Amino acid sequence: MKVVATYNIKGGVGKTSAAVNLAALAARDGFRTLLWDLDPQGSATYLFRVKAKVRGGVRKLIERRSDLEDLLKGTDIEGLDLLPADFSYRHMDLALGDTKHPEARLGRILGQVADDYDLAILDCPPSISLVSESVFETADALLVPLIPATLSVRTFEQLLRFVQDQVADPPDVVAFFSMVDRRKRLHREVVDGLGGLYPQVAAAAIPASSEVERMGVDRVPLVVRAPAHPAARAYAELWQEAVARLGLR
Amino acid sequence: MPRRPVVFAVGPELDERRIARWLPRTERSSPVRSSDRTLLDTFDGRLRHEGLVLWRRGRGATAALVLEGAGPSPLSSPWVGPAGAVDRLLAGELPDGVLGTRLRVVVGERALLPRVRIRTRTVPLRVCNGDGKTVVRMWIEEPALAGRAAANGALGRRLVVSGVLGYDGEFDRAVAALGRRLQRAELGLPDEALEAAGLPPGGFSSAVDVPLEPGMRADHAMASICRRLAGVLEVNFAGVVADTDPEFLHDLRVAIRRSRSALKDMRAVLTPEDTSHAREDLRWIQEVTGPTRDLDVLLHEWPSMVEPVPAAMSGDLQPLVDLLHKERQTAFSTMRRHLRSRRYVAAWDRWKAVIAQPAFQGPEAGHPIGDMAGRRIRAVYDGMVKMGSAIDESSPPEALHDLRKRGKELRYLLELFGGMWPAEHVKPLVSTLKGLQDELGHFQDDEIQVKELRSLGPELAAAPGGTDSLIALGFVVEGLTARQNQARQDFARRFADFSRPATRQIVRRTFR
Repeated sequence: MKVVATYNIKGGVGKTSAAVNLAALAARDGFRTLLWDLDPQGSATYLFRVKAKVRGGVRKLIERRSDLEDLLKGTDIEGLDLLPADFSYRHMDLALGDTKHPEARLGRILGQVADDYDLAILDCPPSISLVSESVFETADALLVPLIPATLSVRTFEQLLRFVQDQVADPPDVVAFFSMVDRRKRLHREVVDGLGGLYPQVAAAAIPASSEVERMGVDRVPLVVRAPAHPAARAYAELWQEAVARLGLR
Repeated sequence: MPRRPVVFAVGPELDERRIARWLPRTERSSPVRSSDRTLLDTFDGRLRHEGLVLWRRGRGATAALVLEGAGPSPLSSPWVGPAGAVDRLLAGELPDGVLGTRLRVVVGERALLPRVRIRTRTVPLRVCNGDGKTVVRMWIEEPALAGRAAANGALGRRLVVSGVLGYDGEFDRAVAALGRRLQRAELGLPDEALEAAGLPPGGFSSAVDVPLEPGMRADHAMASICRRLAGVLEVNFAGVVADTDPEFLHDLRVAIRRSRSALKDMRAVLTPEDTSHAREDLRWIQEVTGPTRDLDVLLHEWPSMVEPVPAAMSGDLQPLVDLLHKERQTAFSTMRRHLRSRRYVAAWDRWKAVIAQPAFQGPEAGHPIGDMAGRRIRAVYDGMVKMGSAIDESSPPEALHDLRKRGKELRYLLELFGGMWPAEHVKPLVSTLKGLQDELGHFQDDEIQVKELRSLGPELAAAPGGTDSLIALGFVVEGLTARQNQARQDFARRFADFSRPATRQIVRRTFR
């Protein structure tokens, strides 16, 4: 089972939208896919119409006193299951801090179902914390959405340095531009300029679109509801690029 | 893990409106779709025996292999074979990944073959909860045979109810509500389709499994066994000449050897006129199929044979591998010519005429089969004990080869007639015999393989890269020789087990 995490220290940059749509595309392509909504806000869980509730809460889960299989929920998409969010995830840092080798803990939890899935996608909360460090140790790859702005680029550089310097077995990093509005000059400049500078930046870029935002109303991934929409096609391109770059086949 | 799907047999009147009356919040989940899929399995139904169902779905760029029964949800992988209709898929042609790995373990050397093609119209349904979330999946299937078997018509309409992970209660309630009104389908779709197409759902077995009673007339027993063995040969024949996979030839040769063995051990059941032609004809068929089988075995064992070759030299063996494949192709072409010859047709017709007789006329045709087979089993066992006891370190290899031949005879006797005696007596004997035969088999196979490889030396030397290949071949031959020596050393232990007093006593008491 490969583990891919959508991560950015900032919130509202398109992590959950990417996680949900890429998970739907993976399942469509025959990957047995698990999406773990690690964000206590539970947006991915909400989008799949599942209750944001994990029996026993975060402590039982982190201490591996829960049978992971009993916590999983099938989604409306065949081949895609969800490990829901729970509001107690806001204390996941503390729960991890109370364990030995906290950085390896998320990997061990996922190990319980490693034979049942080809791909796990972790939708991470926006922070840099023990949770994210455990994600970095667990994931084979980080998918990093970037808003086309100068400060985002600086944050991305910080992340690259952190992953290389602090993580024992660093994951691959693939960044992609998100919420791109090509009518804005700055967006165009950053997108066109940065792509050539960093080999980690994917060619696919997700356009800013009210259709992406509508997912919160319709509660269906865009790639399922409107697969021909430019944003859905951009997710499909990103997925294909991720498959090739990360050797997911 | 979600519950296993439940399948109901339904009539043409059942539609989603009626289901919605029984199960509120049932709705169409996506448009009606049509699918075209081909069921794949080995000739002997290995996937079905493992509870697996493999489909090739779709065509062209979207074609995929879908494996059901290997886990909570189906495994799928893009189709990697030719774009047109599939005629066979060998283990080496399977895709990498979980699906390919799972299949390779089960199919071994057998090819996956298209068994039956089904076109299905599917009406996808779902039951939702108050949040509009799917909690139970259902679909109405209207399958029909397609392709060559299409004339056999439509298959039963069915409603499949499938669980969603984490919503077991909703699934159980849906199944209970439907179960009060509908009957469960007796057969799964693959089995129903295979039966409708006139194919055995479990595949073709090469086992003899002819029920015998000790008091049965020997000629009746022999006729049943020989007819069954002839049937085994005939169902495997097409796969042999098409070179579908190596197991067809293996099973054909086993059927011939068993027939020859039965003829030899029960010769008094038939007349000398019947047996003399038949023994010669069957011996010839075995002879002409031998070289191809020897090379199949060699190529199958090649990965273990090259283990002693240093990694840096393993690439040097390629000219030899190419040569072996060429030799195998030549041997196969010769064999196929023989199997399509007038001589083969005449030999087979003669044998079929012998076994089609209503009664055999040999001097012991009316004897009880239990007495005859028991006597023969005991005699062959005693003969083996005598032969094996005379073998020591100075005995020539031929002594071990002869013992192996007798061992095969005993094995076939036990396979053909052993069912007449209690399994608790026969099984331990078969098991100890198998241990001995495996050792003798290694000893002899390694010798044959060394001879085969040595015989390629001159041609290999003349090939580009042949000199390096010859040097690497030295390691292979050395490894085989060491293995053969080991088999010879292990023989004494295996034979001691086979001939120990307790085993002798079982044989004496059982096969009187």
